[in-house]
Amino acid sequence: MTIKPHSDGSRKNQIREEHETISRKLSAFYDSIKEEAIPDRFLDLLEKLDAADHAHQVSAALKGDGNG
Amino acid sequence: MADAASDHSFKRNLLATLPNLRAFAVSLSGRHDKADDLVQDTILKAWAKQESFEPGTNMKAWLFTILRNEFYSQMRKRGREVQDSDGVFTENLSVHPSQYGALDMQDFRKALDKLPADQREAIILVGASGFAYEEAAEICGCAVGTIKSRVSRARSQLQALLDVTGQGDYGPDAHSAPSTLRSFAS
Repeated sequence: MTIKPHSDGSRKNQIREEHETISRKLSAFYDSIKEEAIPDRFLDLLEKLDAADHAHQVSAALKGDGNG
Repeated sequence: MADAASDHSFKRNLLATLPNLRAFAVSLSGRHDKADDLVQDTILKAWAKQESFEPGTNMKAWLFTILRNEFYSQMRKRGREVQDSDGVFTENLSVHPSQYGALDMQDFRKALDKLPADQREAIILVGASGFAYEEAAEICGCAVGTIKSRVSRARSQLQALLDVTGQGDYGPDAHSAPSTLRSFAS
């Protein structure tokens, strides 16, 4: 139950430091997840979706669908 | 072709947002496996509705909104009470301590899980995902003032849980003072 002494003894500074501590811990926690490698399943999925889209566009263009 | 170019930039922007999106999913769901399923569902949904996305607008916020809505919709379907402040998923945590480093990080994760869901997502969006209060409010579908008060309460709660503050200043009703201490003292 100690109140840490601060260089100027101000309560405002104590509050700010507490906020900064929480912000720091939150960032550290979140950043550690962000730094993990993106699972292959997402990269594969995006490639598949992209390829399917383009295949669709090509076949639509060949058939003369849409504005063609 | 203009279409091909915008498709690539949609995919590129989506990819660039993935690490952040994934971290948000883990924070919401508390589990890596559930989080990754959620991200997968979000990618599929976002891709399917890419026509509705206006290029040049805030894609990050758009993706986060999709993920958040998907998360809550799935929770409702499972009949889970997300607002339970005991932390529905606390026992099921499957995060890997080694990846988070110190025990410190684990303590933080546990504290985060104890928050009510609305406070947890608010402080994550504003304090970690990099959104402004206004953006977070749009993502959560509430007023800016509501987000601000949730962030503030989340912060106080985390401070108390992590014992960041001294307890003396807050008086006998401080929620940081465990009840066991009082009974021991008497």
